[in-house]
Amino acid sequence: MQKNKVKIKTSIAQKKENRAGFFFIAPYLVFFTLFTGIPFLMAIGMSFLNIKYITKLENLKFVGLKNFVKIFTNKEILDSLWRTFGYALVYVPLIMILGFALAVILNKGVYAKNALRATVFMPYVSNIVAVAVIFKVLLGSNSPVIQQLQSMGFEPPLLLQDLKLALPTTAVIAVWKGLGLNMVVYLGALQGVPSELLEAAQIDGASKWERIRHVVFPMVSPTTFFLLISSIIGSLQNFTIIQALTEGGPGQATTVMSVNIVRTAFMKYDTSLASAMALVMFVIVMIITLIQWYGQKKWVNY
Amino acid sequence: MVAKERISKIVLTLVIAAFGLVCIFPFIFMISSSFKISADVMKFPFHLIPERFTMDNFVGLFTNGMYNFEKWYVNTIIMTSLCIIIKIFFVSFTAYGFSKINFKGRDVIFLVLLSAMMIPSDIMILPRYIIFKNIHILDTMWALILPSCVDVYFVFLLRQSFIAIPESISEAAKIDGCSHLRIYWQVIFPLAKPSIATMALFSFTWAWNDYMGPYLYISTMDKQMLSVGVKLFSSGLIQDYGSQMAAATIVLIPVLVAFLFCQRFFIEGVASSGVKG
Amino acid sequence: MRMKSLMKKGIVTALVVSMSASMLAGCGNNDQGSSASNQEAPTQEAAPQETETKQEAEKPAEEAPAEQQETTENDKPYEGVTLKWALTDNAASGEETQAMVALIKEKTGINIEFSITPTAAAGEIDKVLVSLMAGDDIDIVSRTPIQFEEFYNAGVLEPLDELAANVGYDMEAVYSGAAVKFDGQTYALPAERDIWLTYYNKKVFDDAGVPYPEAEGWTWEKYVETAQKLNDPDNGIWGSFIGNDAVHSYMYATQSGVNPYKADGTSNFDDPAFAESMEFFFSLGNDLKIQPSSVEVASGTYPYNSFMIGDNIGLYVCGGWVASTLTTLEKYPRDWQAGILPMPYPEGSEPSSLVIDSCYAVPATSSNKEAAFEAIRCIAENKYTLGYGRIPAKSLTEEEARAYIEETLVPMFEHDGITADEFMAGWFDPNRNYISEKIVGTADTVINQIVTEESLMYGQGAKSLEDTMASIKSRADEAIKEAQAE
Repeated sequence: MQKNKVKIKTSIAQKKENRAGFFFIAPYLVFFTLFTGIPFLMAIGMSFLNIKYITKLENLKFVGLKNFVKIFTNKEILDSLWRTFGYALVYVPLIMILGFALAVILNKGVYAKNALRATVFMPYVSNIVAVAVIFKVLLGSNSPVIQQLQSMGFEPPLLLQDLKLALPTTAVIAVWKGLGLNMVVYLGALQGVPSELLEAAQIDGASKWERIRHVVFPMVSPTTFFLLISSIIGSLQNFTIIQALTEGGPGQATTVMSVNIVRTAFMKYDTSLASAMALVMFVIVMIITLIQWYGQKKWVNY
Repeated sequence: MVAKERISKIVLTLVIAAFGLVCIFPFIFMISSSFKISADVMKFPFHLIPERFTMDNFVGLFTNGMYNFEKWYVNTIIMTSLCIIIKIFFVSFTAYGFSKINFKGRDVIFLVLLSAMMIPSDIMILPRYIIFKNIHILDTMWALILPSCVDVYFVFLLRQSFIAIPESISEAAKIDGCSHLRIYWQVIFPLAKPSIATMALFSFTWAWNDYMGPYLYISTMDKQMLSVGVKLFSSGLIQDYGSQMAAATIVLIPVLVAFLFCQRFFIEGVASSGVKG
Repeated sequence: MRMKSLMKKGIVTALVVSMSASMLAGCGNNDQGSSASNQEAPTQEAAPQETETKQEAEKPAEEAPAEQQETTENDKPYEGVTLKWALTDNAASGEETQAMVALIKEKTGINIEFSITPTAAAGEIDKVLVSLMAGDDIDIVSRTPIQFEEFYNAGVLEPLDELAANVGYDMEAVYSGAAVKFDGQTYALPAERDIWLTYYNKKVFDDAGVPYPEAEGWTWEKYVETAQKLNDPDNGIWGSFIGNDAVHSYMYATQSGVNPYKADGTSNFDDPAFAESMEFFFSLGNDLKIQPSSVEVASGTYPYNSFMIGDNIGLYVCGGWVASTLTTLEKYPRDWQAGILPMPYPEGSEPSSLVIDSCYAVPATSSNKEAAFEAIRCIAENKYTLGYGRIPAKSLTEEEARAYIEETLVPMFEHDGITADEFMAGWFDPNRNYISEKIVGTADTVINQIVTEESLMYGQGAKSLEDTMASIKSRADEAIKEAQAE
């Protein structure tokens, strides 16, 4: 439970610690710089230029913030940015809550837990084509569910083809598909919760809910922090599932930033604008992450 | 009291089982479709048991005369195994540095690394291609393995789980005169097994299913990976749904085996918790 | 702190090195035509917008002896050369590729090494384009004209005019204008042509007591009339089936000869013909109810192969590639026969069909361009003879066409008993206009995406016709302006 903010004089022990630290992370940093650092810096560079094809550099111009200005003045791009937030607002809370709940339940609360864990994990590894077929048909106009409801006098909306509902629907399907990861990571973390602690709490008369809230949750809070950040990032990298389910439609109802970036880069071949869009997303997530990073001390148990 | 708990356990089991049914439906669809002739795959209402049963989809994968499916399988196994083995040591080693050693600038460097998780990978395709070309790993499986080993995601995952291991344990070892290397290897690594198993499972799943990597960086047919290979059965205009689903089934089975294997570690972890405290 | 600045230095150095490396790779293949190849996308000459196929018998005949002479003079000048062919294709055509490689070896002595990658799906970058931009040595690539436009804009293609002139090859005559040109230069040779057809289910016609339709005067109006006769909702029979695709919403206009671009380069979607075309297509499902509604198709219960998997669709209009599913009876067993007709055309216009060519080009990074040209010429001229039911893009005389049909196509479609005359009418009619399937011109890919989004909104009743057309027009103009801005 030490806070590392403690002022450390450059004592011999600290120097030794510094050296050990760099010994442990240096190999990683070298490869990281090569495979991620440099490409990223190149992408940043591109966002201030007017590159379309890297083979065509003769008209290369430094355009300053022009690409960024375009992002914040173009209605289509801005709309897709808002949709991204809307999507994340459904996706992140849902996957966090369900992931934790499922892990707790599947850790000890059920019979046949190995089989049930495997079934809940299935969507995560299921073929995206199969998933898209199933959901399109299940939610489409010929679906047995929809037709049953219609025969009962209801007017059920076609979720994937409704201008307002398509976005939250894709988010919910994405949660269903991604849940396996959160569940397994939590499951791994739950194994680190000492059973003595739980037993002690039980003897003290703590209810099941109290045990989860006061013992389990604080113990896995570092993992929660990890999953929260990775789920936020995951909510932005949703191209594959949206492309498979709605292709950004109906109209542009599910054209979120990831779809827009990919189209700008590989359909319009506007490499610089796509880099700038990616950079804007990057800065937004970075700000959210920094807020959490400094806020984590309040709730993450180290 | 016990009876009440049993009832709640039964109820929960039923609820989860119902949810599980929704979860395995696409899987059932896939398996069942892979034994159907192409004409029946998209026929609705959907028949669970193929009306016209066929093995041709599977046979076709291995005997088409054009592609060496077995070779792709072997390539993918080698690539994935190397990925996991390197990652288990390399990533946990790095994560130890970021969690258990209190060196100057640690958190700042880690935040910089963390930011790399947020970069949309699409914009790094071209720069990466050029770098791979210049260091001569293009068209080799190292172009897939090395970048995946610096995936910040798992460093973050392991860092968080190492942090959850009480400081008192490594402090005790330190007082006994253990070096960081020994604490890492003999204390932290064994204690973090469930998380390392989690990492192994997901790095397996990701490496195994990675499509864009081999698609972009591998050109020689004989060096190609399964994920790209099976796409050849469904790309273009004519969608051969039967073969597509058979290929997907063959790709998926090892992932399921890996999952079942990793489950063991989620139980072992509980037993070893006695060490902590 | 020192460590940090050191790192920074290192990163900057590495960045400079790899950036300049990429520029070098770029400059190497960029010296020719940097002025001719401004980003401005070509509008008219870009691709065979309208390909005249009225055949002049003399020209190819003239060509033949010249070619023979040359081969006797210098037989196989590239014997033993090895070329790299980057293919983007699917498993179904694997055998065909191997046969083509063998044929190139036989005819030219050139060895071919090939690598195959899956077709880039929507939103995936074209891998071959990436590796060409990075300067990889590839000798043969194959794409559609629209896709090649991107390659041309990226400056990775070699112009073919000089290579052709050197060996006395008249590309104009052999391909009657179908060779792919950008800014006045030829960049690719067309090999196969996919020509749209009307497919019909003879059993549905028999059951409804409707006589089989005929190729002569097969207009959209007649198509609708026939579909209405076949339609039988109580028994689940649809008269017609055409999927949701941007092309379908504007084909009636382009087939009527209306250009999607105005003379000043802006889009022409405010022409009433495009509104009528959109209304016409969606009325089939939404108002006339002779086919599943647009919403139903979007729900995924009617995949592209609905015609083959059910026995409840009377008429079906789609690209020629679908015909191959009629010949794979083990995957699509049927107890009914299918018939083919040419694609319907608007009443009052000249008969026309939509087409898409697949073409072959030589990248600028190829190390042996002469040999590569020889190889793509061999592919473009001979690929259709391999017996996989392809339609050549080069002009055939009527005798050649008939001989090819009798020899290859009729036996392939034996189950359906499709006659040589039916193939002639659908695929080899010299009096038909063959029009590029998708819009070709400035910002074409983006415009197709816009039309996809907007037309489905109209089709599903979320937007009025006027709003839809106004929105397509303004968005397309915007896209054109953007593409021209550089």
